[in-house]
Amino acid sequence: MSLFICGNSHTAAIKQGMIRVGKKPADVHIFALGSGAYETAPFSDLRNDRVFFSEPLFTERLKTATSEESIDDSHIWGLVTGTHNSRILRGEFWKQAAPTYLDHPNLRPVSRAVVDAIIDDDQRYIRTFLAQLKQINAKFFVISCPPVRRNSVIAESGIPLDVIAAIDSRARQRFTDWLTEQGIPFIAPPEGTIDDQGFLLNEYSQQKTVGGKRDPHHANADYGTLMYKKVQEFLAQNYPDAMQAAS
Amino acid sequence: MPSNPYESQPPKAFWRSGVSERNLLGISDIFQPKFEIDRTVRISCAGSCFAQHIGAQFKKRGFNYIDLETPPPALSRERWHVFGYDLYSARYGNIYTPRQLIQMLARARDELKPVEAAYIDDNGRARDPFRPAIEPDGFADIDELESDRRYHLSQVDSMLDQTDLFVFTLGLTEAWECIGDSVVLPTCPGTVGGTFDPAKYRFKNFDYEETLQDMNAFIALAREKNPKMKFLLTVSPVPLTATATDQHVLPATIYSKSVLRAVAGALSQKHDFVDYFPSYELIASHPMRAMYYMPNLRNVAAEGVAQAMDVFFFAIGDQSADIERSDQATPVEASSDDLVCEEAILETFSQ
Repeated sequence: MSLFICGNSHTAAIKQGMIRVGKKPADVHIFALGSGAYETAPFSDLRNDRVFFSEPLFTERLKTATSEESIDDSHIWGLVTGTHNSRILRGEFWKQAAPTYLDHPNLRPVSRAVVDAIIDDDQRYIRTFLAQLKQINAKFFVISCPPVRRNSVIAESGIPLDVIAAIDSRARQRFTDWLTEQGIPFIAPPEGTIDDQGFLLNEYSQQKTVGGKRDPHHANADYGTLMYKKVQEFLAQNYPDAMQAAS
Repeated sequence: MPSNPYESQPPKAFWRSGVSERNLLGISDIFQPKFEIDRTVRISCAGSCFAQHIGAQFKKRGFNYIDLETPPPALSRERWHVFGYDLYSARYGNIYTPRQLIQMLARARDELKPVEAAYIDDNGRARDPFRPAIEPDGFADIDELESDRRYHLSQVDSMLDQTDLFVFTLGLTEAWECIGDSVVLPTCPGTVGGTFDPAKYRFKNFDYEETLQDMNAFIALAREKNPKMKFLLTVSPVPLTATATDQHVLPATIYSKSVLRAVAGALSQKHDFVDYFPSYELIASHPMRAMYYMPNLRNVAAEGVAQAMDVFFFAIGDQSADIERSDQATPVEASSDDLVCEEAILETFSQ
C-alpha cells in the first residue's frame, strides 16, 4: 500500500515541505496532476470500480507517478483540491460586484444564493471526482489549498479585499460542509499561517518561481512544511501502518 | 385602370393565394419591416415569456442587444435563466401587461412607491412581488431584496437611454392589482410567493382602451428619453394558463389575445416608428393547424419559435442563423495564472 499526495499546483509547496522534513512514510509519493484550470470541466470517469481521468494530462502524470492509469482502493490518496478559490474571483466581475451582505453600496449586489451557485459550479467536477472515489471505497482525504493572498493578482487587480476574503471564506465553508456530509476527511491550512481576514500571511507566500518570475498565488516551502507535518499527524492517527517507516 | 381596388392587390392579399394554396412553412411575405434593423441598432427587450425567444435570437445572431444585468461569468450557463439572467434586457422577469411595464419604469424613476414591498415567508426569506421568481428560493432577507432591487431599478432607469429599438411582447390582459395603490403584480399572490388576501388584491382584466392608453403612455415616456426610439411589437401566442374571469379559459384567451392584437395593430397603423411582427399569426392562427404547439396546445414548440424567427430575420435581411453571440461568458481561469501554475508544477516535480 502506497501513499500518494497529488492535486493541483498547490501540491508543490507540500512537496517542498516533504523535502525539508527529510523523512517520509514508507512509500509516499507527491506529484501534481495539473493546474486548477482543469478542475472547471469534467475530468474523471468511474468505470469498473476504478476512477479514470478523462483529462489526458492527469492520466499521463498519474501513470508516471504510479504506473497505473486509474485509481482503485488499494492505496491511500491525499488530494490537494477544492479550495483553490482565486479561480472564482478572477476577471472583471468582482471589481464591479459584491455579495449583498458586504457594505459596498456602489457595487452591484450579488445575492447569497447566486454566490453559492457560483461556488457550487466551481466545485462541481471536484465533488464529482471525490464522490466517484467514495463509490469505489478508495481511501482518501482532502488537503486544503492555501487561502488567497493579500498580494495576489486578484487583489492587485482592484477587487476589494473584503470581497476576496468573503468569497474565499464562503467557498471553503461550502466545500468543507459538503466534505463533512460525505464523511471525507479534510486537512485545513496550518494554524498560524492565516491573518485575521483569512488571507495567507505574507511570510508563507511563494514570492517567485524558480525561474525568477513573480508567483501570484502559491504558498512557499515554510507553509508546505507545516502542512506536510499536519498530513503526517493525520496519517499517524488514521493510517498508522503507512507511517511505520517514518518513525 | 383596374375595375376595383382588389385587382391591383398582390397575391398575398388574397386568402387563396396568400394562405390556402401556399406552403405556409415557406411563407416569407407575411412581414414587411417598416424600418431597418441592423447591428448598430441598440435593442432592448421585454414582455411575456415569448419575448425571451426574440431577445435570444437577437443575441445569438450578433445584434447589439442590451443586457444591463449580465450573469456573473463564473455562474454556469444552465443557471442563468434560473436566476433571471439572460432573459431580457434587465433582470425584471416576465412583464405581462403594459401597465406592469409603465409602473416598473415609474418605480425605477422613484415616482411610484408601491405599498406591496415584499413577500416574507416564515423563514424570513423575501420575494420581490414584482419579479417573484427572480431568485428561485427568494432573497435571504428583506435587506438583500432591497439591495438587489435598488440596483435592478437603477439599471431599468438607464435602459431607455441606451435603446434605439424596444421590442415588447404583449402577453396578457388579465392581472392582479393591489387595492391600496392599483399597482399591478405579475402573478397572483399565493401562486409564486405571497398570500392571497381579497381585502388587499383584486382582479383586473384590461380592456382595449386601457391597454392602448398604457402603451401610448409607455411610448411617450420612451420617446422622451430617445425621440428616435422605434418599437417592435408582438403578441404572445401562449394561451392563458387559467382565467380568473367567470368564462371558459378558451374564450378568455381569445378575448385577451384579441385586445392585445388590436392594440398592437392600432399602434402600428398610427405610427411609422411602431411595427408589428406577426409571430402570433405564424404560430397561433388556424392555418397553422396548431402544429407549432406542444400536445397541451399551450406551450410553443421550438420549431414554431424557429419558424417565426426565421421569417422575421429573413424579412429584415439577416441570414446569419446560428451565429454565436460574441459576448459569451469566457472561462474564468486566466491563462497567465495557469502558466505560472504549470511552471510551479514543472519546477517542483522535475527536481
